[in-house]
Amino acid sequence: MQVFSRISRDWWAVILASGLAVLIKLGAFSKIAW
Amino acid sequence: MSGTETVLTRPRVRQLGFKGLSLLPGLLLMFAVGYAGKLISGYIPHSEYVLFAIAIGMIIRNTIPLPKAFTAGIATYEMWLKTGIVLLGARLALQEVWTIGATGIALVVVEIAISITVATWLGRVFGLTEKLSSLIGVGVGVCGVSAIIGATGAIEAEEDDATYAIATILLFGALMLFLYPIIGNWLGMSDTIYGYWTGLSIDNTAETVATGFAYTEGAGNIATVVKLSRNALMGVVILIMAIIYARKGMTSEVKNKKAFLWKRLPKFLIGFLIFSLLATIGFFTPAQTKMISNASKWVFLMTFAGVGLSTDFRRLRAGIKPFLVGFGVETVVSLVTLGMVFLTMR
Repeated sequence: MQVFSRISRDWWAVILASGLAVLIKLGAFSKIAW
Repeated sequence: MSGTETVLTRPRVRQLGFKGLSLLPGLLLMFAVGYAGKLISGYIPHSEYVLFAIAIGMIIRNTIPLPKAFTAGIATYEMWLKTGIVLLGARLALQEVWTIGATGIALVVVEIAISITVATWLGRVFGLTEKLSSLIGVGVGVCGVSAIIGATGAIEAEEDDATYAIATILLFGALMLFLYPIIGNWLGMSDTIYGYWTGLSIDNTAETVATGFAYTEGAGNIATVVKLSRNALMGVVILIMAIIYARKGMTSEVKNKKAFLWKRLPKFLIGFLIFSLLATIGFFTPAQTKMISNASKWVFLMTFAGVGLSTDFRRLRAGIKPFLVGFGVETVVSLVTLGMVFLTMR
């Protein structure tokens, strides 16, 4: 079952990445380890 | 209402509006597979979790009948890949592209052109579909799995073709991971030559970095920058391919070409370029860039696990031919880029 259409996946990727970057920029994470 | 559904679950799913809970089993499985690959690679020196994550995923998919509950979550792997690519933009380099100089860029353009040309020609010789040949060429020439997935959508290739191309790229990427350092030491290559060679000819970013650092840290740094410049051209290459296929009529009938091209343009590449621009103007501190970089690695971990879990060997119908084409393209690209680097870097 596909939840996202192909186009939506692209924008979801941008939204997810942007949201994460905003959180990092705002200092929500002290560290993200790998 | 079945016995497995609770009164609590169904209203919540409806409230979420996008059935998020149906993704959970697949997402958890992808994370488990990816993390297992990461753990295993931690015990094996100079190894890369990517290979283990994909291998574990492939083994599971082709030996255990996965319940349908996992399907939706596993199918999100493409979105995770695109998310990782957008995040990757933050550690790319518009300025890093410039640091490798005009020579590096020229080599990248030549390498991509050779890869796509050889793949197309060899594909015709072995009777592959044009789209499968293009995907192999893009995968070898540009950026492995992510380029293949990006190009698959842009040129409307079949999923089976993408699976074949990905399987071909990964197989030979795994071989190169071990072969390149051996060849580098045998030929007594300098860090610069080995770094450029690796950066130009290894398909997958993770494999490029691993293969580079398997030699020396200096070679690893150069290989990473060269590979990032190929990644930077990924959007241009895929866009050109999308335009060519649209004009050849191999995609849907186009009434509004601009709207069609816009629709076919992978939007995550826009995000990738925006992140790169932000990095270029110093929007992120080094610490923030490091966190974004690590976040992209976690996201890619999900991606590669998903790739493995999505690879069903029983659906592969083209047999040995895609692998022969992939082998041919890889060999030609490898030899030509080695020659180019020796000629220009000395």
